[in-house]
Amino acid sequence: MTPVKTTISRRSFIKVSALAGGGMMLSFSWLAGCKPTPEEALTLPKEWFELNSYIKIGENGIVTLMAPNPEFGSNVKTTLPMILADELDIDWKNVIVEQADFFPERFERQFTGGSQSVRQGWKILREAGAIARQMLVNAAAKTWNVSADDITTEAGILHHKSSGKRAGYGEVASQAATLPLPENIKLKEIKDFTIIGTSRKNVDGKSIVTGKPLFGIDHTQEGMLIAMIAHPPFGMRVKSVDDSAARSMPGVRDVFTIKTLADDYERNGFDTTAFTELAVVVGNTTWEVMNAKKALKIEWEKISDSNVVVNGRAGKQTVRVPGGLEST
Amino acid sequence: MAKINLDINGKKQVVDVDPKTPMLWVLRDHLNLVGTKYGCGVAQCGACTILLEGTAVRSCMLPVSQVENKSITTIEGLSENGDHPVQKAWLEHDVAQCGYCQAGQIMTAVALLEKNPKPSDEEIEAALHGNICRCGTYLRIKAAVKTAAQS
Repeated sequence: MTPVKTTISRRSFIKVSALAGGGMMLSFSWLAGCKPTPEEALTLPKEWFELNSYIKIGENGIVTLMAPNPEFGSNVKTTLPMILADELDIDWKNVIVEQADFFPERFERQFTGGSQSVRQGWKILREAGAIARQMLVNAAAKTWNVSADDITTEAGILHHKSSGKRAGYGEVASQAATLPLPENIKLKEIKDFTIIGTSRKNVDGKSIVTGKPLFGIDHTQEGMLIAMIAHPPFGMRVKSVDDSAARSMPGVRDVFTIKTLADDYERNGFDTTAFTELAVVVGNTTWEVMNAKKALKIEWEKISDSNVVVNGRAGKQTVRVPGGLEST
Repeated sequence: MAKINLDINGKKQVVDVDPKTPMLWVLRDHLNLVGTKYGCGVAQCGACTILLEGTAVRSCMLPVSQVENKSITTIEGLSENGDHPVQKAWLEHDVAQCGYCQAGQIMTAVALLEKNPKPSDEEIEAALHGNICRCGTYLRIKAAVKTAAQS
């Protein structure tokens, strides 16, 4: 074990609370692991410190981790919880992973790409797991009236050797939720990892092979309509839309044009200048909207040469975008 | 609009839709069976594969009017608990990465094994070559089909 002082501050990142149905919930900010330098940290938006990801430990010993990063096939939804579960010292088969809702304003890096998810999640997940583990140890120490230092953990079981006492995490989770957060925690030595470095199957495997709703396109809700976009050719925008035929088709609710960027919007390095004006069809069902989209008569016009201010990693700069072309 | 009688996963159902509506959208929008996926919409990628009378077909270009009273099976209807031999083999080999194409892959594999219970490598490739996987899980798909064939 390597003793470390927790870098997750209670004030900013961590909140521990009792679950309504019993057990402990430890919330932490994904972003605490994402601060690249102290200088950059000073400029972090305040919202980044909001609680936005959590561990739940139920009285039955089941652990739930909310995974903020979208799963695009890199199996990051499986990998990140493995890091947490290892420091928490729990049996992997007792881990449930839940996908966080899309809140880009809350999560620093809620996207897939850049090969950074594990690197940026590594520290915060290990510390969060170790904090939760220490709290469970402290709860057992209090219950058994022994020193926390004499309690060991393995696969979700707390053990006090000299008295022979044992308890599952779930049995002390409710009490752990009432204890103060530990300031000092111990991280595992690499040789002691039991989950990290091993091969684990995709946590969504069963849902995938049985056709459960998992993807954005599978989402439904009461009163939901279907919208589709008619994209312009590159470097062009809407000049006029004749929607008379589309509007008279069955199931069509509305047709309109939309600007994807507000006039005063400051582009960052990832924004493009293509497709900023679009035509949109809204209707009841996918097939009806698909047909109505084909019935739109849209006249496109070329976007002339323009200067675009881009505030990307290289700082604010003006980019000359030739008419008909993309700036990126 | 027309009332059309359907037989989906062993259940008789009636839908009132434009008869030209592709089966994919009848399943997804009208019957809330979203396991069958929309990929290309022009029968080129295999994500929307379902079984029609046991044969693998692309539901995105299959008008609902053509399947009246014919037996249709979707990924949801393969088994009660995800224990169809092909589903089990998929889990054993941990085939899926993002999983989007896998319903189509599985349905094509099921149709193959029903007609040819012991396919060769070449026969597996020929049967599944029209199912695209952008994660590139092809090697595990092939291994899983072989495992399913042995069970």
